[in-house]
Amino acid sequence: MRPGSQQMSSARSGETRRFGRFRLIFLAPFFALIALTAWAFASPMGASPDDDYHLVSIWCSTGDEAYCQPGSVEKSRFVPEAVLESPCYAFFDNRSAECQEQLDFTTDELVETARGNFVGAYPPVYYSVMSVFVGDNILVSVMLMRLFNILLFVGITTALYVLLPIQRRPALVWGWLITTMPLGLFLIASNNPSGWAIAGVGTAWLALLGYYETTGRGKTIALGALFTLAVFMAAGSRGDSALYVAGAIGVVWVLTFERSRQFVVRSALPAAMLAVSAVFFLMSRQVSSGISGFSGGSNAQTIGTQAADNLENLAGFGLLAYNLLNVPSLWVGVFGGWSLGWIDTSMPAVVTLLALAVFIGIGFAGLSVLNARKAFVVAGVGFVLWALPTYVLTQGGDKVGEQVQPRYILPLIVLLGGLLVLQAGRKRFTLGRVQSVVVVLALSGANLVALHMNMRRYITGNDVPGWNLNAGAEWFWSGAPAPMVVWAVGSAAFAGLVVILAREMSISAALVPEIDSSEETKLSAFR
Amino acid sequence: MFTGVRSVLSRSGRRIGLLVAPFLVFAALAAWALSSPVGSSPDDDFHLTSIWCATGNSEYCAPSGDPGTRLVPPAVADPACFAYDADKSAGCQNRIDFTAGATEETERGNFAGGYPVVYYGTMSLFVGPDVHASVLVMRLINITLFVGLGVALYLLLPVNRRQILVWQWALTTVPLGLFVLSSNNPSAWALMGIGYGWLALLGFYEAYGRKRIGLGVVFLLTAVMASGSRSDATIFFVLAVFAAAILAFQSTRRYWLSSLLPVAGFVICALLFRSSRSVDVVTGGLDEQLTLGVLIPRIAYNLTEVPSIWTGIFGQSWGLGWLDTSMPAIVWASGLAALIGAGFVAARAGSVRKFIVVALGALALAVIPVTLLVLAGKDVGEDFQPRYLLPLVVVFTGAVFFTTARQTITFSRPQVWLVVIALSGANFVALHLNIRRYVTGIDALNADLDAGRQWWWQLIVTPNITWVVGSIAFGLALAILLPRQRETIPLTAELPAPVAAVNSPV
Repeated sequence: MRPGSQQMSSARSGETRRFGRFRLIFLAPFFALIALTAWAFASPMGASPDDDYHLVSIWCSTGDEAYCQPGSVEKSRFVPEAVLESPCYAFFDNRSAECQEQLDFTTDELVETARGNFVGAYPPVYYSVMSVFVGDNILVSVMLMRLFNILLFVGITTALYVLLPIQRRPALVWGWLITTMPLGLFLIASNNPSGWAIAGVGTAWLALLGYYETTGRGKTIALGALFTLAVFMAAGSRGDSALYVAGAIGVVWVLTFERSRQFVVRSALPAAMLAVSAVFFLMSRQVSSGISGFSGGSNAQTIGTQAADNLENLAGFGLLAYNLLNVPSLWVGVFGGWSLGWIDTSMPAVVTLLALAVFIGIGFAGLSVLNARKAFVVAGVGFVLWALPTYVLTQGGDKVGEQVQPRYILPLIVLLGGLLVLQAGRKRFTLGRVQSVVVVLALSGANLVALHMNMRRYITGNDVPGWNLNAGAEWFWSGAPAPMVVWAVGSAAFAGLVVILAREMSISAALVPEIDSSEETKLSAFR
Repeated sequence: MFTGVRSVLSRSGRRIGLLVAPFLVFAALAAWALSSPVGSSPDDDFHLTSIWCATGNSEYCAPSGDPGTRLVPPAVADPACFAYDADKSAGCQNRIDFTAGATEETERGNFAGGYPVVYYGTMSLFVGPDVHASVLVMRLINITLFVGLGVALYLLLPVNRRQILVWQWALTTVPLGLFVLSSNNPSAWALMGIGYGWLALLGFYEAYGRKRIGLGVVFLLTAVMASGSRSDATIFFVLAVFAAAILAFQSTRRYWLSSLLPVAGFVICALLFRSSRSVDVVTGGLDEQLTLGVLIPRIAYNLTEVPSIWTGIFGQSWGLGWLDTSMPAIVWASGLAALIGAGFVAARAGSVRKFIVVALGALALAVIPVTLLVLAGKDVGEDFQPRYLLPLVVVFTGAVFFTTARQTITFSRPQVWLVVIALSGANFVALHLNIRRYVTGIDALNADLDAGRQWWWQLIVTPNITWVVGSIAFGLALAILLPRQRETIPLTAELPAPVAAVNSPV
C-alpha cells in the first residue's frame, strides 16, 4: 500500500473503515460499464454511420458460407438482408427504428451488395475480431460486439489507471471524460470501427508514455503490451487512425526524449509499432489515403472524379478561406455540434455547450501547467487538427460540412485533451472545488440529455415529444429493461462515475505534494 | 525568460501603453462604426426615424397628417435596402437621395412611445442635413461614451476591480458587442449602461474617499442610459444592481446608507420605464390556450436550446446586422473558448456571495428568454435575439471574475496570450467579413476589400485601411490591457494607510 492511501483511510469515517480497503474508485469501472452499456442499448442495430458497410464487412470476415457468399462480381457479396438493410431509418430523424420490423432477422436467404470491405479499403483487424461474435441471431451478435467493445475499452482504461505513474492519471481520466461527450460515448458503444480508432489512439500514447516513464520491469512490460494492443486496435480499424497513432508515437517521443541508453533500448517497441501502423496504412489505402481515408464507406470509384475537381479548386482562395475559417465547426461537432448516428440525431444546444465548456474549461486550465515540450506537442496536435481537415477538404474540392466528419478527427481531440492536462515538469494540473463541481454537473447533465435525445430518436422518432420514453415506444431491444430504466440507470451510472473520478483526482492531487512552494501559497488563497 | 525584456521596457513603457489603450479601443470601435452603412443595425429604420423625429424640427421630421406616421428623409425612413440578403451589398443605397428633405412617409418610428426617449433625444442633437455625417457622428459619440466611461471606471474603481472591468468587456464583445457598441442602435446604450452600471455600484459600495462621488455619478448616468434606451434594459439594469448589491453585501450602517444610491437608480428606472408604454410587445402574438400539455414540452424544448441565444453573441447561428451577416466557426469558437476558458479559471476563486450571484445569473439567463418565448408561443431562434441578453452576459461574466478581498485570480502568461490571440483573430476575421458583406456582398470572398466595391463612405479611409487599422488597434489594446490584469491587483496596495492597517490583520 502506498503511504498516501494509508493517510487517506485513517482520515475517513468509521463507516467506510468497516469495509477495510474498499475505496469508491473501485466502483468506477463498473459505473463506466453500465453507462456505456446504456449507450449501447440506446440505439438500434445499424445506427452508427455506414453501419451497413461495416456490418457486412464483419459478416464477410467470418469466412462462413452461411453468413457471406461470393457475389456475382468480384466486388460484391451475398449477405443476410437484415445486416445490409438495418439502417432503414437513417437520415430521417422522425422515422423510428420500427421499420426494422419489416426485415427478416431469422432467414437464411442472402442478398447481394457491393457495400462492404471487399477491396481492402479498411484494415481487416477490427472486422476479423468482431466476426467472432457473428451468430445465427443477428441482433444478439450485434449487441455482443458492442458489449465486447465496451468491455475492451473499460478494461484497457482500468489497466492503464492501475499501471500508469500516479501523476499521469489525470491525463487518462480527464483526457477521456472531457472529449467523449457525446460522440465518443456513442461510437465506443457502437459497431463502428471508429470506436476502436478512438480507444486505440487515446490509449496508445498514454500507455507508451507510461512505458517510457515506469521503472519497474513488470509494469513496463504490461504498459508495452497495452501500447501494442492499442496500436493494433487503432491501425487495424481505420486507415486514418493508423496515421494518427504514428503521430501519437511521435508526440510521446517529443515528450520523453533523452540521451540515454535506456531510451534507445525502449524505443525499439514504438519503432516496431511505427512500422506496423505504416504497413496497415499502406495496405488499406495505398497512396490515395490522404483523401479517401476520410470519405466513409467504399467509394474507391469516386477518387478519380475528386482528382479532377482538384485542378479546378486548388486555386480557389474562397474555398480555402472558407475551410480554414470553418474547421472549428468540426471540432465542436465532436461535442454535439454535429448530429449523432447517421448525422441525423441532432443534439440540443445545451449538450453542445456543456460538453464544449468542460473541454475548454479543463483544457484551458491545463495550460497553466506548461513547459516547452508540452507547449510544442499541444501546438503541434492543434495545428494538425486545423490543417489536416482544411487540406483534405480543399484538396477534394469540398466545403466543411461535406465528406470530413467530426468522428474522423475525434481520436486527435482525445489526444489533445489528454495532452492539455498533462503534468509538465514539477507542476501538476489540479482543479479547485468549485471547478470540480461545475465539471461534474456539466458532464452529468449533458449525458442525461444526450442519452435521452438519442433514445427518443430511435424509439419513436423525433416527431413524438415528451420526456417519457416508454410511452408509445415503437422500437426497443427485446429482452432489455424498459427504455426509461436504461436511461435512468445509464445516466445515474455516468453521474456516479464522474463524481467518483473527480473526487479521486482531487484526493490524489492533495496527497502528492509536488506543487512548488510559490504555487502552494497561491492555492491557499483560493480556499 | 522575458524578465530581462520586461525590465528594459519597465514602468514608463507600460504607462505609455496604458495611456494609449483608450485611443486604441476607440480606433478599434471606430473601424466597426465604418464597417457598416447607414441602417445596418437591426430595426435601424425605426431607430433612425425616431431619432430624426426627436429633433422636433420639421425640416427633419414633419407631420404627415396621420398621427401614426411622419415624413422623414428617405435615407432615414428606409435605408436598409440590403437587409436579410447577405449577397446584396449596400450599393443599393446609391439609389437613395441622402440629401433630400423630409419627404418620405413612414409608420416605423417611436411615435406611440414604445421606447424610452432619452436615447433618441440625445442622439437627435447630432442630426444634420447630411444623413451620412449625422449617422457617423452618432456612432462616434456612442464609442466616445463607451471609452470615456471605461477610462473613468478604470481610474475610479478599487484597483482589484480593474480585472473585472477589462476582462468582462474583452470576453463578451467579439463580435456582436463591438458591432452594437459602434452602431446607431439603442442596444448600445443598454449594453454600456448595464455593463458599466453594476461595476460602478460595486465600486461605490467598496471604495473610500472622493472616488465614491465619481462612482456614484457614473452609476446614475448609466441608470439613465440603460433605462433611457430600451425598456427591457431597465429590467436587466435592476437585476445588475442586485448582483452588485449582493456581491458587496455587509450588514453595516455604511452599506445600508450606500444603498440609497441604487434606490435612486431604481427611481430613475421607474420614471423612465413609466414614460415608455411598452408592457412587452413580445407577448402580443398569443392565440392558443396555454394548457400544461402544451407548456411543458415547449418549456423543455426551449430550455435545452436556450444556450444557442447565449452563444449567439459570438456569432454562432446568429448573424450580425439584420441577422444576415453570419460568422464563420472560427469567430464564434474563439470567442466562446476565450470566455469559457478564462471563466473556468476565474471560477476557482469561489465565495458564497459569488456563488449566489452566478447561480441566479445563470438562472436569469435561461429563464428570461424561455419565459418570454413560451408566453409568446415561439421557439428559440425566433424573436428573442442575443443582443437583448448581451448586457446580462457581460454582468454575468463580470461576476464570475469577482474576488473577495483576499482572493486573486491568476492566469499564466500563455493563457493570457492565448486569449489575446484568439480574440484578436476573431475580431480580425469578423471585421473583414462585416465589411465584405456591405462593400460587395458576402458572395465575393476575396482578401482585398477595396476591389470592386459597390459601397463605401465618402472618406479617404478605404475598407482595407479600416480593416487593418481596426484589427491592429484591437489586438494592441488587448495586448496592453489583458496582460496587465493577468493577476488581480491586491487591494491592500492601494488602500489609504489607516484603512490598510485595519484590514491587514484579517
